[in-house]
This record gives sequence, structure tokens and C-alpha cells, in this order.
Amino acid sequence: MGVTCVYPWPLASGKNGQQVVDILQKNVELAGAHWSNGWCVDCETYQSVTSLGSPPKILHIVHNTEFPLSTFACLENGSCLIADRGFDSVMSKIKGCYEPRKGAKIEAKGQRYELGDFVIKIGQVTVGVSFKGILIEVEYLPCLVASQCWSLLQEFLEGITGIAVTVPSLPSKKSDSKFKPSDTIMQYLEQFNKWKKASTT
Amino acid sequence: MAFEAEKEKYKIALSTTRDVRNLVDSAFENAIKDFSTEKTKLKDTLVKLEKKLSDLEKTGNSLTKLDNQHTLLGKSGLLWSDPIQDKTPLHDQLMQTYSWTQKLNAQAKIATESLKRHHVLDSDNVEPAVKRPLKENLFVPQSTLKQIVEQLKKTFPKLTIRWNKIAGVSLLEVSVKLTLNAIIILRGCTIDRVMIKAIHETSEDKDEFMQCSKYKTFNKMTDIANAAAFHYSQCGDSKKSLNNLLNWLTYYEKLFSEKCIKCKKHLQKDADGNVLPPCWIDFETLRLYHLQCRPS
Repeated sequence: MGVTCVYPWPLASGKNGQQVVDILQKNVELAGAHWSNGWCVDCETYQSVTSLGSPPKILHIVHNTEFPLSTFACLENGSCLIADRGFDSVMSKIKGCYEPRKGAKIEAKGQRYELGDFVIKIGQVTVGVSFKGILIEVEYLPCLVASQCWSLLQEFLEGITGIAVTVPSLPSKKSDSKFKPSDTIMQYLEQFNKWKKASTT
Repeated sequence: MAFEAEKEKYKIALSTTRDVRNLVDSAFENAIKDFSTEKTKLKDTLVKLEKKLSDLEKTGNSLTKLDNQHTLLGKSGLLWSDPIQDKTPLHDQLMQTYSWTQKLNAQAKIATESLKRHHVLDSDNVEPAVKRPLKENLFVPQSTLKQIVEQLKKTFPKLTIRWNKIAGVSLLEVSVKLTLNAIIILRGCTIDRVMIKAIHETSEDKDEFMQCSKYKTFNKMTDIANAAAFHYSQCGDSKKSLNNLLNWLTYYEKLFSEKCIKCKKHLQKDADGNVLPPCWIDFETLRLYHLQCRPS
């Protein structure tokens, strides 16, 4: 895999999610990209069964269609465990320790496009049936270091959408470390958490 | 469009000629076989023949001389007027091939001119004796090669250089820090071919080893690197050309992070519609450009 940038697309006033997604998809197709598949990233949040006094620990279980055989288990402190898909059944076995939060399953789903060495994913984020926002994921396959190609990714995003964008800060702290699948997942989690917080306040 | 109309007229004229010939045949047959007193069949045929003849005359008068452009291929240019339908497309194919070779010829001329401008070709040399000593460099003992590699490692500490031998072919695997891998295939000391791959595309498997990259950027860069190898080998000294090529490769460290000197952008669409970073490093100035932005 290359370097991935997950960008929350702002909703234009007077347009609903589907309309904005349609416009984005049209722009991407006009740029010469071709549709390759559907994609989905889902996240289920678990919390530890509280013992007296201590605050509950949060665990996010994330699946990504780009890595269909893996489950990502992420803690709030940023550590991420990558396990086989069978890890899901482990979670059901330890429901005495960790129980799923009700109504906390959030999902980003949409269409995947390819344009040369770039992969573009456009999707809507939903919690249950309620629409939360739009996410664009851009991946540049030949590069392995995020710090090298972050501004290149920004320029690409601006090129295909036609407007100036400010991409989120670099996911990895070390400037020359290789980009990992967990870095992509952490970017999704960051965006999902923002939407979750916005809906609770 | 006018040519198409003309083509149609010629087709009509040819089919009318064929009809006339058939009618003449049947007129003679009727003249021999029709034993009736009124000779009705013969009369009918002659009336038809007269009509067809006047049609043919009319069409013939309206025909203009064939345009030279469409008969470039001499008599084969008349192939399209062949009434046998299977042969008609042959002319278009011939025309395509002809124009393709013409273009190739023109491009080759431009390439020769360009090469002459940058390097004096062998044929232009006044003294033909100053030929490159190619033979000497083709057979180099392994110990010498090892020495050269060690020297290169010292000269370019930024690059990771590995010397390998796969199926009797000497390979230099050069890694530009976290950016790309260059596989330089050597013949003795001389650079035979260069392949550029992503840093995560290397494999010990020798079949995969020789395959080209799956990324458009690196495939384009393979072409550029081969051009660079050719450019640097013009000096005739294989060690020097290897040194120059490796020095040129070190500048790819900033392939993804630096913008094109000319357009000040990271990405540009090339002629094939691929969005590429500035993957042309000028052989002399060693500055990054997009292919279409490079100085002429």
C-alpha cells in the first residue's frame, strides 16, 4: 500500500449528502478515473465493564474492505492491534469485560475509483440510518512515506475537486517512517470521533 | 467528405460497367438462342443495354481525376475501388501503415537532429579512429567489479548499493532512500539497461525481479533512466558513466516532495493521461521537471 489521506468533505448549503457525492463522483470521472469497486469502513465501539471508580476504557473495532481479512482494534491512546478477522469472535467471548456501546456503530461507505497510481474513495458516513457527513480517501501507491507526498496528495485533491482544501496534519509523528495500514485506520477513527462528539453535544 | 462522394461515384461507375458487360454477354446469347420471329428477348436486352450505356456515360462524365493524396501508394491506391468487398478495407489499412511509417521517419529525423545537437555522433567524427573501447569493458573480472562497487558505496553514502548476480547477469541494486529502487543491469562494466521500481517492489524471486514496475510513475522513470544511461555513456568511460548515473539517481530523493522547477506544481498529466510527479531530472542541471516542462 501507499500513503493515504482521509479528508472530511464539507457539505455545501442547500445540497444533501447524496447530491454532493454525485457531484464529486462526476468530477472524479471527468478527471479520467475509472470505477473499480465499492468500499466500506465500519467501526464499532466497545467499553470496558466499569469497576468502582475507574473510568471505562474505550476500544474501537474497525474493518476496512481494503484489508478484508483483518480486524483493527484501536485504543484511545493511539495504539492499534492488527489481527485476523477471527478477532471479532474473541470480542463476543469477552463480553463480560468489554461490551458494545449501543448505537455507536459508525460506517463510511461508497465508491472506489482508480486514476493511474492514485486510488480515490468517496463515501457517506452514517450512524445507523442517520447521515453524518462525507469522507474522501486518496491513496498514492508508489510512495511509502507520508511526509514526502503529503502536499502532493493535497494538490491532487484540489485538482480533482476543483477547490482549495486543507488536508489534516500528518498522521505519523516520525518524518521518515513508512506508512502503515493502521495509520489509515487512525485517520478514519479521528474523523469518526469528531462526528460522534458533534452528535452528542 | 468530398473524397467519400467521389469514391461512391467510382463504385457506381464500376458496377454499371459490370452490368453492361453482363448485358452484352446475354445479348449475344439471345442473338444465338432466341429463335422467335420477333426476337423479343434480344430487343429487351438491347434496350436495357442502351439505358445502362447512357447511365455509364453520364457517370463517367461526372467523374473527376483521382486526387494524388489518396493514391499515394501508387496503383495499390485503387484497391478501394475493387468491387470485391473483402478487399476494400485493405486500402485503409495500407494508408494507415503508410502514414505511420511516414511519421516514424519524421520522428527519427528529429531524434537524429537532437542527438547531433547534443553529442557529436560517430558518423560525424572527422577521425573515425576515436571509437569507444567497448570490447575491453565487456569482460571484467569479478574482483574488479567488486572494487568498483566498493568505490561507488564510498562515493554515494546516501544510496544503498548491492551487487548481485542472477542467471549470469551482473546487477546493481541501488536504493534511493525511501523513494525508489533502481536495478542496473551491467555488461562487464557497461550499463546495459536500467529498471526503476518502487521501494516495496523488490523481490528475491528472479522472475519477478526482471518484471517492470506496476506503477505508472516508475515505468515512465525507467524510460527516463535508460535515456540518462545512454546520455552518460556517451563519454566512453564506463566507470565515469556509472558514477554519473548514480549521482543523477541521488537527486530522486525528493521526487515526491519537490515541485517542478518550471510549473511549480507536484502533478501534471502526461500525454498518456497519467498524473505524474516531476520525474525528469535534467542530465546537466540535475533539477526536477515534469516531462512536458523539461527545457528543450
